Amino acid sequence: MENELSVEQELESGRRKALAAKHRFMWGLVIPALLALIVFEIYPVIQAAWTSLHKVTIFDPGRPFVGLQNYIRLFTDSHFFNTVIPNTFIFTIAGLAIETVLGISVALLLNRSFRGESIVTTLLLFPMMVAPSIAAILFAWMFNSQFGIVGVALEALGLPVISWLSGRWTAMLVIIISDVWLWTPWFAILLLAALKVQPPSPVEAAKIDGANAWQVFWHVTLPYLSPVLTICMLIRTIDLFRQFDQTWVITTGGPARSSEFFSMYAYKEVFEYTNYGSGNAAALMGAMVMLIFGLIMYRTFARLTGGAKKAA
Amino acid sequence: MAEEIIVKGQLKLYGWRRALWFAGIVLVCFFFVFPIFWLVLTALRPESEVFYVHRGTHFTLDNFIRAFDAPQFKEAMFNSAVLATLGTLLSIGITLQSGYMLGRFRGKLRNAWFGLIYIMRTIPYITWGLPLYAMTQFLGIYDTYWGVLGPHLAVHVAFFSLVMKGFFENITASSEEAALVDGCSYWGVYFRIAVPQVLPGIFALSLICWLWTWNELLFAMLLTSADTPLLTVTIVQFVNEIGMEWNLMAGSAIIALIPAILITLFGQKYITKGLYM
Repeated sequence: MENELSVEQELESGRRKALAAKHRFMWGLVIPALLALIVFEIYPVIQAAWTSLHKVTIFDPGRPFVGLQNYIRLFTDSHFFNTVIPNTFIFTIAGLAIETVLGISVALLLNRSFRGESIVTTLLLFPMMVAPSIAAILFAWMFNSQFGIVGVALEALGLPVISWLSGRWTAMLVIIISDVWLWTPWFAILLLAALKVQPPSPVEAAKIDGANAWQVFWHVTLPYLSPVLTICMLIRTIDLFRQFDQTWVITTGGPARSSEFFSMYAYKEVFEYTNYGSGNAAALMGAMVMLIFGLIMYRTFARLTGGAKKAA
Repeated sequence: MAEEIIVKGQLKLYGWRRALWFAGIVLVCFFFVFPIFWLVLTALRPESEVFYVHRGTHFTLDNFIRAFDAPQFKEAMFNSAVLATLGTLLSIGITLQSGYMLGRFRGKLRNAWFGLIYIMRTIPYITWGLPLYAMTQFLGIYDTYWGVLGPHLAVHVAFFSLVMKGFFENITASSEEAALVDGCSYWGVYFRIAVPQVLPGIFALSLICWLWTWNELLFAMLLTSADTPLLTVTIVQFVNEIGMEWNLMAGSAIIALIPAILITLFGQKYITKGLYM
């Protein structure tokens, strides 16, 4: 009896040792990445939160605690409330909608074998590799009010010449077009990869049942694509919301700060107007909006990451 | 798995449908290629013709030479290349480990790490970029490689860990389990069995990671200045300084696009694997 017990004890301690080794290994795997996150992302975010709750100026080293005053100032700033917030949401929603619809369309268009298929895919791949700031230069030049090719083309068609970058909505449109150019191919290529491995039988069954092309798309293909599509849309939402590069190059937030998004607003508050408190408060508000959005989507994301990647 | 392979050309198109489809393809190609074509054409025009790019008849390579000779341009290119290379080497190492942990293990620690990365992924750059400006100055690494490298590492951890996780989930764990039973250590299993199996994915992600760091603007703007000029910032400053000289702008933009062109042409087979950002 004594022997048996000691064997069990030995097994138990061995198991515990194995478990400890496994945990050590798991920690070892994440520690470098965790350190990078803590030092360069988590700590700065905490710092931003601290700044947003204090009155920080260059001249006064005291930095007194002011509670939510910076946030209140932010929301009583009519520019932030009436321009920056709507701009950010309009840009995010419009960009996402156009990129999604176009991305699906392009993927469906390319989902057949034809001569020159690989050339077209290569051409599509290219915009994704282009720096957003360079793409922005490209579109600023094409939509240049005097010499841009878009104006020239419109004029040749007998349409009125628009000075794109001197109006709020046309300037926003140019920024949205640049983003659509940069990111639609990403949607298209990931969706196409999923379409290429779509099992043909449900599609055929639907056709035999007399479904037309639209019905097949709506009831068979779209549900099949939805995991990949959801992840793409989630990722794009986060990235559209924080977009900075194109606005900076194309309009720098102008004319008269009317095309500013929250990233640009926060940047300018800090570096142009030295309002450290409200700049950081704005940046933190943006983070909170995305955090809440992210948390709402968390279950969807966690459920989808496993399955969808295999499809692509 | 045979039935999963779609029958190629199952939706053969004829007549006007075929014409419509073809028109669609042409339109798509036009939309995505024309801006680049236009950039190249602008870059090849002499200064006198840049405002009439569509009507000009003269071509020149002067713009590339002038852009290249612009103050800080070569230095900025070199710095961006060094930063991108350092960033890629460091990030791929730490991100691969983090992805392995996410892809191979279960339990609280793993879920907590997944949650943390997910949250970090949602936080906009500007939120942590602003404090980093003061922080890097305090640490004395403002306007050096290290100052910009740090935030890039954090970005890569948040963005690429989940992609790496997918790589490991797509290979079977049985040989790793067998090696563990045979007494191989965890680290031995990781380096000798798991990593070699995902090398194509690592390669794809390295290309994307390199290009991302090369392309990035906001951190470069916030954290560097005259001592460590970076390419995107230098070119964007061009826009403000030289304003109207679009031929020169186009020339410098094309030089900045060279890595993107090379990677698209020669790495395209791999890249699609690493696109889940």
